[in-house]
Amino acid sequence: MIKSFMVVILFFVLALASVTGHILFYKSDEHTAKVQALSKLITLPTLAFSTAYFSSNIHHYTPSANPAYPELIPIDTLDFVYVK
Amino acid sequence: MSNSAFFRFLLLLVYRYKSKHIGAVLISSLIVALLSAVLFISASIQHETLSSLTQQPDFVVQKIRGGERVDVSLEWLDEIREINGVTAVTPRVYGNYYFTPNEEHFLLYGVDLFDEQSHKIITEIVEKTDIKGLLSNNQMIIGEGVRDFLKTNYYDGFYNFKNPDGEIIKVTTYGTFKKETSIISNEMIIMEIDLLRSILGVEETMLTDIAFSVPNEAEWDNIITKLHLLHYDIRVITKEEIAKAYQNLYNYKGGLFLLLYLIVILTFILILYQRYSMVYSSEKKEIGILRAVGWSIKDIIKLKFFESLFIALLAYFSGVIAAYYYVFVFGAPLLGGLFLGTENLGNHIVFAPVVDFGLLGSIFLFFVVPFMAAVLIPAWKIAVTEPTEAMK
Repeated sequence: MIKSFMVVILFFVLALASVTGHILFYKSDEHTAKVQALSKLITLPTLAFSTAYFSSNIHHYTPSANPAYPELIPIDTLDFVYVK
Repeated sequence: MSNSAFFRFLLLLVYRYKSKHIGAVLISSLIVALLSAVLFISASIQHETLSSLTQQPDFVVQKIRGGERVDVSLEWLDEIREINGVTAVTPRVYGNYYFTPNEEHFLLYGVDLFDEQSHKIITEIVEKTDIKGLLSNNQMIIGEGVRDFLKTNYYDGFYNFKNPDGEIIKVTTYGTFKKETSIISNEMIIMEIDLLRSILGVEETMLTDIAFSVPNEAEWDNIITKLHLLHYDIRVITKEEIAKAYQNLYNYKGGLFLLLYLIVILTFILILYQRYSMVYSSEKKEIGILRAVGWSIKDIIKLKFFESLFIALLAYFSGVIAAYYYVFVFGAPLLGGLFLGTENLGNHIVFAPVVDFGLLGSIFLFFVVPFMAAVLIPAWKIAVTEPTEAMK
């Protein structure tokens, strides 16, 4: 009985060790440096969103009236009068 | 009872009733894995977005006509350069290229390949090391998504672009961007700026838009006012606006999942509560025997506490480990599409491991506390009954 628990615990220890190893040995700095290098080259902030041709990759930011409902725009928004 | 005997009895109990717990562990792991995976993806994309934004210019100026962006004149470059406090004024030429048969599109970006700085960067982000080949005629560097798309559409190693005049311009593939950059480069093609002008039909005196930086933050509002005084028909996009737009997008999507998770976990806890109430009713006799041989209510609660803690921890760690492998090792197939879209080219994103322990702690609290409450309350209800009554 104890042996089967030991197997389960050993499995979990190994799995956790592999996750920790992956975090520690993953070259995050290199990864970030490459993304930053490309970002510097193209100076475009767009991510590779797989969106339809006519939809915008990044939507224009409008401050929300309430952080709990970010989709709701402030009631005094005048975007429709003055083009941004 | 000594601690070692207590834990031996606890393990014996878990082992004896393993079939009773296995369903709860499996479903709990699945719920935790799903939520952790969504939060891992969201955190990783946010981290990469914000780190890439540090390299972005502070402002982008676009000319607007009828609410749509139109090309700006090359003269604007000098006008902006003349404003005090403005640095790194960069002309940009880019645009989407539509591939009609499959209704897909690529993002084409023009780079000055003879610029030393650009040259240096390209050597860092492209698989090939021989950069001289890129300077020969009509070459392009493509993202992984574009490479796979062209391969499946019989354009292995080249692509015939059609310019607005209907002329075919053959451009050969020089190389592919490194996998790590695919969060930006997946559907991107970069090429020499003049070649791109001929493909998109942008005149030599025109640009798509202009990017620039203003190192002194106190000057930002002043510079925007000056730009508006120069030209009334412009849109100035700041880096801060873009950062907030991305943050909002991912917080919104992650928050939506958190809300769904709360609904699912509440339903699951309710089911668990009813199930364990039934299970403990059938174990009433066993608890009665324990009480009869001298166990106190506290001992029985302690036994059930450790039993449920063992189950909850097992489910929690299985879920988090599975989510980690799913996102950071296997690239989150299916779920990744929810964040990055699936309407254009297939995504081949490599997520950089970003583990927020505060987030994992929150998942732990949101999962383990209700789970244990759902198990312990029915156990306590049975434990407080008199042993003589329980044995009946």
